[in-house]
Parts: sequence; C-alpha cells; structure tokens
Amino acid sequence: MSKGPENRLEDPRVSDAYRDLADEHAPEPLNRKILVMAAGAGTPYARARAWMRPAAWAATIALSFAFVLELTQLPSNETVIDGLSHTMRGDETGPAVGRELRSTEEFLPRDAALIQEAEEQARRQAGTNQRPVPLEADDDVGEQRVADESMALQRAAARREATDRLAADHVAAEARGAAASFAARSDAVAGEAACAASLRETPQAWLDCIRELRESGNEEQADREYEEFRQVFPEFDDSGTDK
Amino acid sequence: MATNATWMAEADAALFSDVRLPYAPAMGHTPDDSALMLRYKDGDIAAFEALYRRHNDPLYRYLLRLCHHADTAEDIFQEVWGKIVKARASYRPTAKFTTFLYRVAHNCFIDHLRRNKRHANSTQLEAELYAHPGEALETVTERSLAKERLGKALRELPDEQRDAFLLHEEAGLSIDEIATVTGSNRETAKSRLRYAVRKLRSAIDECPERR
Repeated sequence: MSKGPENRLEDPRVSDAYRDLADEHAPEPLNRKILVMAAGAGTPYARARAWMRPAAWAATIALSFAFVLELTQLPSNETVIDGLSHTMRGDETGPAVGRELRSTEEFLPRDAALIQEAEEQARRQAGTNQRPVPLEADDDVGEQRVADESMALQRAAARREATDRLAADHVAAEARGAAASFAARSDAVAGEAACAASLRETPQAWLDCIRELRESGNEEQADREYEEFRQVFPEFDDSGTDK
Repeated sequence: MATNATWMAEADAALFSDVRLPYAPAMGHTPDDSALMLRYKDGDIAAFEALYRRHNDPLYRYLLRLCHHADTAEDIFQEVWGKIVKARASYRPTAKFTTFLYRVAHNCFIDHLRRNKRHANSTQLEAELYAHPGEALETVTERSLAKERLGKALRELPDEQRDAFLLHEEAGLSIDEIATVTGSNRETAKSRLRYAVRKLRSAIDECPERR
C-alpha cells in the first residue's frame, strides 16, 4: 500500500524547493555577539569550576595541619608571659631565657626543682620590693605595668643565675671527675711505664732501671719496681747494687 | 530531510577538518551535540562555538520563516541562544540536543506571539532576502518569483503546520521529536506536517519552472 503524493510526509520536490528558497544565514555580527556572550558567561564559571574544589581541599588541609602544628608546639604559659613582657620592652632576653630554660630542662630534668625553687625565691623577693599601688592614682595602669616588668626582670635574672649556677656546677663536677680519672690513668700509665718489659727480662737490667728511677727522684716508683723485682727474682743477690 | 542531513554533515566535516576535539572519538568522527554542550558546561568555549556554528543557520531560518521579519527573528534568535547559555549548568543529555534547542526556540516564539498580538499580519520578508548579488536580472527575477511563490505559500500556512514543516526541514526532526517540541501528540504532529507538505507541493506545482 503506497502513499499518494498528497499523503506523504516527505516530498523531495518540496524539500529541494525549500532548500533553494532558504539560503539565508545568520548575520555575522549577530554570530559574534552571541559567541562573545557565551564566552563571557562561560569563562568565570569554568575557571571557578576548574580550581575552586581543589583549592578548597588544599586550604582545608593546610589549615588543619597548621592548627595541629600550633597545638603541638605551644610553649608554656610562663614562657609566653615572659616573652611578651620582654617583647614589650624591645629586647630579646625573654625568648633567650625561655629557650635556655627549655634546653636546661631537657638536658637536666633532675634540676627542674632547683630552678623552680630559684624562681619562687625571686618571686618572693620581687613581691617584697614591689611598691603598693595607690588606688586614687591616675596612672595606676602605667605603674602596675612598670612593677610587672620589674618583677619579670628579676624573675628572668633569677632564672639566669640559677641556670648559670647549675651549669657551672655541672661543668665543675665534670672537670673534677675528668681530673681524677686523668690522674688515676696517669698513675697507672706511670707505674706501668717505669721499667719497660725488655728491661724486666734480666735482673741486672731491671735493677739498673730501679737505680735510675731513684737517681731521677722517683722513689715511690723505684720501691714498687723493687717489690715486683723481688717477687720475680727472689733468689737474685743484689747486695752489690744500689737498689 | 536527506538533503538537509547531508548539508549538515558537510558543514561538520568542513568545521572539524583540521581540529581534533578531546571528546571526539577516533577515526575522524565529530563529537555529537550533547558532548559539545557538556564540554561547554565544563568551560570549553570552543565547544560552544562548534555547536553554535552547527545550528545557527538552520535555527535562524526557522525563526525567520516563523516570524516573517528579520529583526524579530534576530531578537528571538539571540534570546534562544541566551537561554541555551544560561541552561548549560543544568543541562542533562537526556534528549537529543536539537530537540532541546528547538523546544527552547519554539517556546520563545510562542512567548513572542503572546507579547505581540499583531504578529498575524506582520510585515513581509524583505525583498533583499531573495536577492543574489552578481546574478543577471532575468535570473534574479525568475528566482525571486519562484521563491516568492513558495515563500508566499509557506507564509500562508497555519502557524502550527508551518512550525511542523520547518522543524522537519531545518532541524531534521522526526514526527515524535516534532510532537515533543510543539507539545502535541504524535498524530497531531504527523497531520500538521502532512497538510503543510501537501499545500507547499500544490504551490510548487503552480510554478511554471517547477513543472
């Protein structure tokens, strides 16, 4: 059952005629206008879409990391207060003291009690030296600040003295120990080296060595060598020698 | 329709002859409209330009034939593409892009009709639309007469029939797609197209050079 020309949905003649008729094109200025509009509308959205999400993630991670780092490296309250006090005066004593104290506490944890005791003493001393604040004065705040700074200075000086004293004590103790160790080691070396092993092989050579020690003034070493000589050569007749 | 499809394929081939787009599959296939729209949604301006160059002239002619007036057609044309640009963020390739585009255009034209009730007796297409520079006067006259007869028949079609015919010829839409764009059922769209083709054929048969 074929459809007649009058019932067809598509007719090549109509299509060709229409195609011959419809040869208009969109005006080029209109094309440019619409393309510019599309580019202008698309660019900010595309740029935002391209980097907004990664940037948000990076910022979140960086802020979290910085927050955790700040929490883990937060100094003690006293150190912060001292540091702020010295910063207000413009010198760098405070932070240096804080660093010194931290390093001392890490190096000498058993001396922390001594440092704390020195601080308490300094605090008491500062309390006795502090002037009473007049209630009716207009510059209450300024005087209080001066008093606080004076107290902070005294506390810092006390800390410095305590840490210096502790460091000096430790240095002295180490020096004493080193000296004793050196002396003992020197004695041992001296005793061992009084007469060489080659000289001890023959009785006469050993006795000659002992005599030289006595002539050089090393009587103690000469006596120790002679005792050893007698243990080794008890039968040797040394009556003819000046042992 | 076959001629229209061939013409669009040639335009695409010329457009993408030296351009390899990321969404385009291998072996020289051109990206489909939905892929281009999705790329524009992601910020690819070149994809929109390719999409625009593919559809601008058929859409312009569709609106020109509907409105019978170049300025009005240009206004609606610009309004349609503005809506396409704005709709890029929410665009989903659930339907053929051409159907989406002409649905927007059809709605814009209906809105224009509602805004301007005097459209029914609107101005005629300008005579310069039919002129071809460089042609002999006799050829121009014959061509103009033929076009004018067909154009007259097209203008005399009821709006719904003309709409169905233009959607079929310019956009290459099927009966179902025409029904979707015009918001009618399939049989109604089919009937409108059939009546439009019949009337236009009658107008062509009356033209001596077409016999």
